[in-house]
Amino acid sequence: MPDHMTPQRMRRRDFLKLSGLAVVPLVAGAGASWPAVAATPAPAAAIRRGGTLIGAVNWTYPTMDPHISTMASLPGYDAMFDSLVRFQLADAKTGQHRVVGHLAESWEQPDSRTYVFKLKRGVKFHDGSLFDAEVAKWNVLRMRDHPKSSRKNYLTNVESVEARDRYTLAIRLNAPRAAFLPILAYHWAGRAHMISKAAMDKLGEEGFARSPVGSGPFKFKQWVTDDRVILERNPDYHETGADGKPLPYLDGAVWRYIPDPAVSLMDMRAGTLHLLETVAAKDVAGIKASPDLATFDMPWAGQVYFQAGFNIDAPPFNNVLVRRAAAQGIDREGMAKALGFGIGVPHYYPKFMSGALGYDESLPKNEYDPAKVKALLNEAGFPDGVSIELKVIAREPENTIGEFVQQMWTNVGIKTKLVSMERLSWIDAVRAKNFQVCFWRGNPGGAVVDPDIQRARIICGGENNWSQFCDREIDRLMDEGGRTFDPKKRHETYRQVLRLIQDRAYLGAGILVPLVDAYRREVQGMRFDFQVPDIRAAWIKA
Amino acid sequence: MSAESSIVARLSSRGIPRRAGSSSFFTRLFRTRGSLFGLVVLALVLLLATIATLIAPYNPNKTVETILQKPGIHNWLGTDHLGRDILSRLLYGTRVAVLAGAVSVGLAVLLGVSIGLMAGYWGGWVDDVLMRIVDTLWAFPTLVLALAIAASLGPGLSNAMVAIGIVFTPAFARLVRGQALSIRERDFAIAARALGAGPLRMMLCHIWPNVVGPIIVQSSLLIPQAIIVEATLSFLGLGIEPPNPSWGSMLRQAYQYIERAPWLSLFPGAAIFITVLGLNLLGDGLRVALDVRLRQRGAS
Amino acid sequence: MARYLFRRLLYFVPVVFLVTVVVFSITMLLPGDPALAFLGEANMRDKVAYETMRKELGLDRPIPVQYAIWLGKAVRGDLGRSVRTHEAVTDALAARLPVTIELAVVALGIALAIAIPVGIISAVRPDSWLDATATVMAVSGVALPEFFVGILLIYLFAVGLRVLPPSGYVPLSAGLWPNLKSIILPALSLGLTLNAVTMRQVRASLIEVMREEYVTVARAKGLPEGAVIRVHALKNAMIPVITVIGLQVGRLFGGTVVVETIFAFPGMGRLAADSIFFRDFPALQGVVLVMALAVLMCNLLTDVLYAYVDPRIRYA
Repeated sequence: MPDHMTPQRMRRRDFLKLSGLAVVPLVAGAGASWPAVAATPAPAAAIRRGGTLIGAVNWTYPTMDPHISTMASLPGYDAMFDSLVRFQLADAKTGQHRVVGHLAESWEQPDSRTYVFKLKRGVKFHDGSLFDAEVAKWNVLRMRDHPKSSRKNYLTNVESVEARDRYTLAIRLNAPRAAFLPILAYHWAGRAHMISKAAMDKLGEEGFARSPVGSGPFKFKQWVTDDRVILERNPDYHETGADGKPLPYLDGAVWRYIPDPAVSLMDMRAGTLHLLETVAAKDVAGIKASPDLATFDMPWAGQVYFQAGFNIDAPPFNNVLVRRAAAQGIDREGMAKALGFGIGVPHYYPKFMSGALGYDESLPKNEYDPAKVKALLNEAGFPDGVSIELKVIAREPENTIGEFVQQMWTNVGIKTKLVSMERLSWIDAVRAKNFQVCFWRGNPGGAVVDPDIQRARIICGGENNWSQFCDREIDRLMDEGGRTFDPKKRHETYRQVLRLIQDRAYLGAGILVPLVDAYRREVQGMRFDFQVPDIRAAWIKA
Repeated sequence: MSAESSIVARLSSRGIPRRAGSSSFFTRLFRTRGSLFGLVVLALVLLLATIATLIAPYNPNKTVETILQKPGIHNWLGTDHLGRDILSRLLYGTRVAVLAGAVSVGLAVLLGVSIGLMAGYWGGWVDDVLMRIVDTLWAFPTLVLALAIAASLGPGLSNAMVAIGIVFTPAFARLVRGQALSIRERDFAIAARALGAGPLRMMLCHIWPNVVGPIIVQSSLLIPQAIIVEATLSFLGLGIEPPNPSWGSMLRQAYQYIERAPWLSLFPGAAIFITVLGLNLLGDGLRVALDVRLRQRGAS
Repeated sequence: MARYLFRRLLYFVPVVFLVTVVVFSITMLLPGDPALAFLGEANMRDKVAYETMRKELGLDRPIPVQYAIWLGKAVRGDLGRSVRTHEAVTDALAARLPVTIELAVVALGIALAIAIPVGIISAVRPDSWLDATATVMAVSGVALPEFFVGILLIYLFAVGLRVLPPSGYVPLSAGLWPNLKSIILPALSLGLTLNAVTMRQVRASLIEVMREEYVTVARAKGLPEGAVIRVHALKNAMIPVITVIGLQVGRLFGGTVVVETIFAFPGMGRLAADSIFFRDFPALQGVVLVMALAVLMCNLLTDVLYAYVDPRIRYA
């Protein structure tokens, strides 16, 4: 039962134990492979200070403003900006995480709708201004209200924010929401990065977007657009290393964007990169076999290759039997063999995954069964099969996945025509509901954090509900689950949601490919904040 | 007259010092080893493209084996990352290569020759306006323009061919215009007009025969370039729609596996290489052979 | 001469104007909504952000008005702000132009270093096996797509031999040698494709020049063949070569798109491609405009140079 579900008071002792320096003990579980890190922190003498970490990210930075950025999970932001709360891995086997304090040292919930945070004292931004409750309040309101904020959809029920005293922040919601704390920590939801108000006032929006100021372990040095972000050490950082001196150990970090994954892999092999985010499934085995390289496997942050969305308002998928037929026509074992390269596993439950509340493997799996597909199509009135169009974005790996699915479905009587579209045209078409079935790569990890985070992807008219299916019963259940705090009740509620999704086959799922980041063995002390590399305690062995 | 058209005229009319002795067009052509090679390649490509559907051992778009198989008994050239037979895909890709080359260059010839003939024949403001338009197209970097047009039309082979055709049009337009302008002033042309020959007759009977040679030469040089551009458009996400194969899209999917399965890149790469090389050498040979022919007719 | 120059400039102006129209139209013809591009897949249904972006981009106005506004600002040096990266387009171009120019110049240098000697050899011994080999070598450069040549080079030199970095641009400010090391592979990928046309032109014009009378005279005077070529023939043969090079600028810029993507160079070509796919209209309009103007300038310079040298052209 995840700890973050119950309102808790965290004591200072517990905070120190759980956050910051202590490295999480290794729990070797299926699918999780962690670097060989000792259970106790490395002795101060062994840690070598200095050096610059060079990492490769998988997308270009849109802006240096973390509230506006649509890619807030890129590692540079966490290096420059601390957030109120963050994640720590609680159980590598199930992928469960707990929310731990960062700039918010502890918190209380006097009632179900109010959170009172005690903020860390003595935290300075890179421009020298102090972090206090007023600044925190301004940050939260900005995330909620700024029209271009990428966080605002997750903060809609923040009713009021109050700075009770210099270091106490009170946030009041308009309705109880069990997922609120995880939302504040999750990069793909409402991660509460704290930026310097003084800097924003001085530089203005556009200026800050190119010259950011945070309180993180690294200071911004230079941004060569589309190429790299260069960071340097923040000597006044408020966390201390194992050797008693302030973190970080590194002198600097460079985050490079290399557009072609084949080339970034070559950079890894040639030794010009320390860390590579998101290794393609086909390259994982090769990297594991290489003596200088190692991997972080993160199944909880994995992607569902082939997350299909059916348009339930247009033929033929307006017929639930046809949808079920298509869902049962997904050959997951074959997909794992062809596209999984040994690390992909069949995934039966869209939007949910193992470790999430509501996940129950006894629920109908919509397993691959060509005979059943034929029977269902027959029942639906398509004895000769059905012809459909599958719209796919014209890029890898979507193209390859699409090609596989096209054959797969055609073989079971669902004659599929692959329509390859440019990304923008695809977004247009999907938004306008101009498709029969489309697919994308899904991230069910949000469900592991808290199923309520999946809300915007599941409810009628949800901002991230791409296939725009609408089911009032599911909406009602999602609302209920979001408001309850009792984990047992929530599990049952979300179980119902999952059952409805499966019975009514709004979505289909293929295989789950864990997120794998690769790094060179000289890099020590790497941690991950759910899926985002955390380099504050990283150092490079000589 | 711009430097461009002057150079083009020179390129198409000079090549090698005249040699004494018999020089029929075909003898000349076959004597050069390069053009012989090119002819063989052309014949082979056309043949394979025609009979591809008959001799391909498997359906090119279907998974038939396990993925990434080395060349072997069942799959002579191995299988790709989705288990499809590479030989079959290569054969079907030949059809696409022929199509991409012929259609895109054909379109460019159609547009370019029309524009060039009109501009060259009528001269004056017609020439000015048409050539300004051609100059405008010419000002855009080739791939950027092809990319923009293909992106506007959407992914797909026919859209890519239209884009390439438009981008290649200025080359033909300027070629034809230059020739048309120079021929217009010749004695026989003036005489013909004096005798009442209309514009169509002038274009077809007098200008066209002199222009056809350089057009063929230019085409033989641009067709292989069209194949390369289609491959590059595929690389960028436009070009032929999956799962259909083209040599370019095969190469584009294959290079990600270059360490693991080098044969994936070897075969489409070799196909492109040989075809482009052969056609280019054929073009060179054609130019030389035509040049001598022109000189013999005294029309240069 | 001055009259020729004046006439060419007169033709230049309407073409520049047409170029701006085409640049603008291309962006308008691209399907897809740039405001949506900004939001991305993750937030495609965020209505508030969408409306804000549309207003910011001025997309709610009629197209001719948008064009007029853009053109008006452009002549004053304001090319707007990139939707994708929030930087001023002029800043983006200023940062990327040196990268692409350096790449193009080095690529051209490589191309010439191969094309000229090969062309000379072919011209001096036309129709021999030397000529044939040289021609095949030069033409081979064109025979593979740039992205594949790039990958092969990276695999060979960066991963296999480990003598060069696989990707990334190192600016001159970080040292001449690191800069050259980072640029040699992409320049090679790009330069190999320019070979064929240039080499053909060197060969053709050298052959022609060598048939001229003054070369025969020089030979008759007893000059050794090498000196004949060097002193008399080469100079005059180079002129059409220079013009041919000038006319390949368009292809050069086009090649940078792929090469910069493979080698992760932050240059103009990559900006053009990224802007097309992201529907970053301000940046796309800016970069294509600059590229087109650069090509036009090169063409103009080439024409003028050629006219200066060959008086017959001026009166055509």
